[in-house]
Amino acid sequence: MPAIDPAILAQLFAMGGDSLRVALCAQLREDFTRLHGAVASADATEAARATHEVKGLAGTVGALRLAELARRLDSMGADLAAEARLVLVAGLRSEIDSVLQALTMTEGSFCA
Amino acid sequence: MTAPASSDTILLIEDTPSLQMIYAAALGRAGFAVAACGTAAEGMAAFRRHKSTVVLLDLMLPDRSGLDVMHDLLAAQPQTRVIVITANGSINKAVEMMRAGAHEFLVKPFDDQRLIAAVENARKALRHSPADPKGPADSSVPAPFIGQSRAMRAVYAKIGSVARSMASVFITGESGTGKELCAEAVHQQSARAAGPFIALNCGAIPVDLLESEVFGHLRGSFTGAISDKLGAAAAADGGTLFLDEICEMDLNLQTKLLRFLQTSTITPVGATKPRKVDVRIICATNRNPLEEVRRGRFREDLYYRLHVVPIHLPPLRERDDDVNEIAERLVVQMAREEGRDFVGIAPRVRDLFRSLPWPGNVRQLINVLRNVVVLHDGPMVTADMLPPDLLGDRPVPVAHNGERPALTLGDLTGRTLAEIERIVIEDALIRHGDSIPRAARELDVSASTLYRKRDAWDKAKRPQ
Repeated sequence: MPAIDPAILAQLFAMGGDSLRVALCAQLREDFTRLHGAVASADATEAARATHEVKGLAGTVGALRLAELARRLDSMGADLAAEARLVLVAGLRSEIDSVLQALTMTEGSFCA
Repeated sequence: MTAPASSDTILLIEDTPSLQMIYAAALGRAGFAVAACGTAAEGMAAFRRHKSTVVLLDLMLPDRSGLDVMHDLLAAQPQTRVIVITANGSINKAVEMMRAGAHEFLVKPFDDQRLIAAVENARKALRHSPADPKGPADSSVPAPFIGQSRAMRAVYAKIGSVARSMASVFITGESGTGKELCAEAVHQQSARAAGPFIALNCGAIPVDLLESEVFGHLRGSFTGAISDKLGAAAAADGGTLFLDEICEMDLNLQTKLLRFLQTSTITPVGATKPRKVDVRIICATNRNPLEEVRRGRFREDLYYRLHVVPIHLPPLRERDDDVNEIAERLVVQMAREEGRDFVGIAPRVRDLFRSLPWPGNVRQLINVLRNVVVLHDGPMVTADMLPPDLLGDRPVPVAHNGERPALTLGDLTGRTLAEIERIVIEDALIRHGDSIPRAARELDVSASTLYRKRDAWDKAKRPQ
């Protein structure tokens, strides 16, 4: 299963022409890069907030595995033991890396 | 996908920039004007500015809870339809939001069809809402006007009142303020709407042809009259005749127009019998008509005959945030026409637009936006896309911006009088964005004189 469902991403890009595609790709990379740091924040409120944001964004752009990981972490919330949280956050960040990589490849295909 | 019936701007408050971009693109593609904001504070400011009746609101915002924002929106404007968007899809949350007054609850992720359907449903609900006797905020705006400023609301009210009568309407306002649109709106709201609307620009027709254009002529009545011609007055029979730039009309023809207004009859050039016509007259000028009367260029009796109900159209710079409402609507429309992706105007450009003097008014704004849409691509209009001459305080195109130095006496030395006249006229035309009436006003000659001169220069250029 790819990090981003290409069919969903294609639907989003179809809403506009090349400029929207390029602008959106760049914005997505920027947002996911920001969230990659924010989900591991020492500030629990900020981390929870970022996880919630990842859930909405990932689902919308077809990063379905990431959306599921974020949903799991978001729903467990404060009940989660610190060690378990660390594991889940590490998994989340690793999946964000995969999404960023997929976005970079998608961006590269525009220029090809 | 149906286009929105009202000019209302959809307010989108979403703090994730890429989601904001996706939702705005989906709405823009469906023909909605969108104002997108990333914080509660920005959202409330935009809400006050646009008085949006449909708001897409993310529940989790960086500076305030979306629930509090919704309370404020509904308190300020109870008919507002708030569509809550959230990644928290719990039933408890949905019930809490609906109880608090949300119109709909969208759980992320949702596709563009779901988003558009929610907005369209909200707009439909607004139209049928008994709780909102006034309907959507812009329901009283006559098409194709855009804008909710106080000054324009007064204009709309006047159009509505005068449309029902037969009184002559005299529209004044700077060039590009929409005088012809105003005349059409009066016609469309009148009992004559099914009849013809005939517009004639008195400043664009050479003086010796104007009489024939207004009243028509019979075949053979003068050299070149090879067939009968129905004039504008006869063509408007049963409808409305709009005479634009009325102050450019020759004094002799003003006398004939007055006779027509007094008797409701026309006599085409070369005819012996007058013909009765039923026409409502609306006229317009960008000059001060009373001043023209004082200077002896406009007949006083004709002025009082025509100036029954005056409507003054305010310049764009005096229309509060209308400039941005117009820009948001037009940029989406132009983007569709030109195959571009623009969905809105960047905040910095909005501020800039509010501060510009817009000497060419809406016509200038349209030209600027067309320039941007043709030469650039979206999704937002940013400051670097604007034509460089926009920041000057002259009408487009700016003449003395370095590319073309100001005219000096040295430029005229050694020239013939005819050459000097041409240089001065062309310089005035450039400085007035090629507007003959404005250049004519500065040079204190009639516009028809300039049209005639330019025609002569064009003819001289053509190969024989």
